[in-house]
Amino acid sequence: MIDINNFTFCYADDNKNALSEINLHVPEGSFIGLSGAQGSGKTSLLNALNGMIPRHIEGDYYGRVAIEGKDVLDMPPEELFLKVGTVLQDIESQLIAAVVEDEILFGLENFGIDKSEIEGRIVEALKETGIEDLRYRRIRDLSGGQKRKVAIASIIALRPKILLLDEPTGELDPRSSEFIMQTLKELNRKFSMTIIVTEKKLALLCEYVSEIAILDKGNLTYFGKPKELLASEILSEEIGLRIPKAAVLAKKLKEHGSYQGEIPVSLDDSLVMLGRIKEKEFERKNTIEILKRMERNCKKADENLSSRRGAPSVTANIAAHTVLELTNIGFSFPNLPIAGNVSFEINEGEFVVLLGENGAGKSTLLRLCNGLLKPTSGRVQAFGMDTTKTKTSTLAQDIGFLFQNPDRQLCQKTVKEEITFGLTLKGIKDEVRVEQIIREFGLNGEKDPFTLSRSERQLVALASILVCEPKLLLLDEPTVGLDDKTAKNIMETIQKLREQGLSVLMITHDMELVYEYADRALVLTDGEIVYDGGIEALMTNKEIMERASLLPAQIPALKAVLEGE
Amino acid sequence: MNDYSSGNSVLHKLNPITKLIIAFVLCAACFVTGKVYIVAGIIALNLILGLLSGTFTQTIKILLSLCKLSVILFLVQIFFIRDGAVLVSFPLNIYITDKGLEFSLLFVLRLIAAALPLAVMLSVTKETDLANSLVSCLHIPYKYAFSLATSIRFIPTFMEEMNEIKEAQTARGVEFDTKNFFKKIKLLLPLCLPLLLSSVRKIEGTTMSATLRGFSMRGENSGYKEYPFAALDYGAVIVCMVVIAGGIMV
Repeated sequence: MIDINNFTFCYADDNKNALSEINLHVPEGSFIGLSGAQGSGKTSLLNALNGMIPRHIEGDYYGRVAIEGKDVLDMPPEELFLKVGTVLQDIESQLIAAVVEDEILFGLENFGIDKSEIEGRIVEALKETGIEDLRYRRIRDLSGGQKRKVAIASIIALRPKILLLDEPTGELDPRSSEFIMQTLKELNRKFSMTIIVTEKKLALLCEYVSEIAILDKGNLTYFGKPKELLASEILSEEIGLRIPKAAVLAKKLKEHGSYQGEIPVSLDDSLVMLGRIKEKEFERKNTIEILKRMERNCKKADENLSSRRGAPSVTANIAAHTVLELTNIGFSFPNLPIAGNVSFEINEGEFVVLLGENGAGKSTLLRLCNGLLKPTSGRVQAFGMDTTKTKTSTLAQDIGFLFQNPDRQLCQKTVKEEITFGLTLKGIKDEVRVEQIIREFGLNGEKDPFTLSRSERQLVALASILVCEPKLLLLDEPTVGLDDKTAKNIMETIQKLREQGLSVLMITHDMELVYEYADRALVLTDGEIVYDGGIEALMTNKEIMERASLLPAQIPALKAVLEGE
Repeated sequence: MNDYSSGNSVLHKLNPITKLIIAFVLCAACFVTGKVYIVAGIIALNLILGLLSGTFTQTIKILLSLCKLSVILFLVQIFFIRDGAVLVSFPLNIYITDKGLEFSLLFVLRLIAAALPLAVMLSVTKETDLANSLVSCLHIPYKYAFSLATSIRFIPTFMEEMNEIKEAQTARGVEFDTKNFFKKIKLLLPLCLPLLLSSVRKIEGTTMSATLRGFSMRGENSGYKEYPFAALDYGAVIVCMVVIAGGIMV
């Protein structure tokens, strides 16, 4: 189906190969996961397949990319674009129309699909993606997960032979992510559609795809079955991907000689593995010990901080230093009311995560915390100041806020100026501090922030906030689009600042990060805080997890299986 | 402004071309008439259209923001017209005349009445329908029709983007929440660059998405939906003609 031979590409304004010497053969009907750190060349490879490289994106092009034996360079666009459907990473620019139906019609009309066929195709596309009820809805009123489904529907209506998706689960909650992958698997099975999906969440990918390709700095370092990938030694911290904890456990058990089966790639596989182990009491206890050791290894918080984990009430008695306090907050937004009884507080030095499904109102709640939005009822107090009476720009002296989209924060000509800018606003002049943070984040101070990659821009935005040494940090999904290594790097930097009393409130869907770094979780769903407490207790609370579309991190999930009945 | 609001009203059902004609004719009517009350009547007619289409609150919002602008323009105008009988006089040889008052009032009312119809009509027209009907009824090449329709849709996106940039900068400590108008303007200038860049990025993405979905292959007969002129459309055009005729004769 797809043949890539010695393919090398270098962007016109770059001197490093984005992809080098790629050789890949994909048979018809494959479901392939393409993974790798940011900047490893995933998107470039997709763009080579759909012809955007070199038709739209210029650069040096060597080798051959062929579809069904035909070189993509020789294929007329109407043939290529109809054969290869693409769902872009940036969903906002992917979607063109105002209403779902029109979005699906757009491609059908363009390609001149016979008019008698169109209605049937629309109905089918909506059905396959499970969004029949959204047909006449306005796209901008939809949640992130729904928008993804609309984008997929609009492409599969064209019945492409090959479907390419660039990080389709990026900003989605765990359950929506699973739903998207499930949908793709169904499409692959039903229509034997060849699917290539890029994704950084390796655990999610392994569970669904038939083959995995790993890119590392533009080189294809692995192509094969997920099982074999997890069993191999290819995955290392250096590649920047997160190795599923269940696979790590299985390898350890194999070393101990207490497990001989295959490396688990899905939750079901893990259950089978643990089922065997549970039969022998000695093995069971031993495995729990191994898990506990793994847990200690990944929870990098120092003793002081981890002693607070899961026990906020105790902390309150000792430290009793509240930095943020929300009392009976109510807020109404057209589609998203926050009921009048949202209350919580954050104490000095605490790392709290705010969880909930897409569209639950997490970002709104975060904006209420620093006064960008004012509550319609109730009271928000930050450092003893009422947000309705204090200007947000004044509150910014103590509260750092990192937005989901870093570009809105950047406005200076160089990285160094950008980082200095935040300090200048506070009336501080401190070259040393600026230089130090530039070094810590591994940035180049002379570069124009807008020429950097998205993840680097994210780092610059974060650095420009952290340099001001805020006392409270509000983070809106700071690690979306970042690979595991970069994400951990950011978390470590924040962890260090916590020792000086920094408090953090972070929105995220990454349950592994939550498990490793957070002290406490708040779960927002249906406009209410339905959970406020420790991380471990949350991960095993099935009812709350289900209600908020969450999935537990692997270690506590595995432990729960072994400890429970 | 201009954000599409879905609905099933009479206005939603009209042919997009009819809606453009209505907007154009109502706009023209304000300029052919010299009577303040007729222009005021057209504004009222717009509000009725807003009410009919279920976009009344949106229409009022646009009206209010136009009024804000009008107040400034009105004040500038009124002191510059020097002939006619003096109504009120201030020190420094500044005075308001009856002609000045009438002219300024007509000027700002015209401005409001001319801007409203298009805003109301666009809020009940999907941009895809607009583009497709321009192609099928007026035989404008799709490329241009699409660009026009998309650029209209881009205005609210652009404004949203600007708001979010302002939000992000405020959260960083830039004083956008100041009450001082001039200070705000001064702070806004450096933000033009990020706004421009993020817009360019967005447009690039949209271009790619459109290209990949066969945008360049589209022909005049590609449209799936048809846009016939129904009795309702002829009725609406006749009503508009009556309004403009009234404007000319009275």
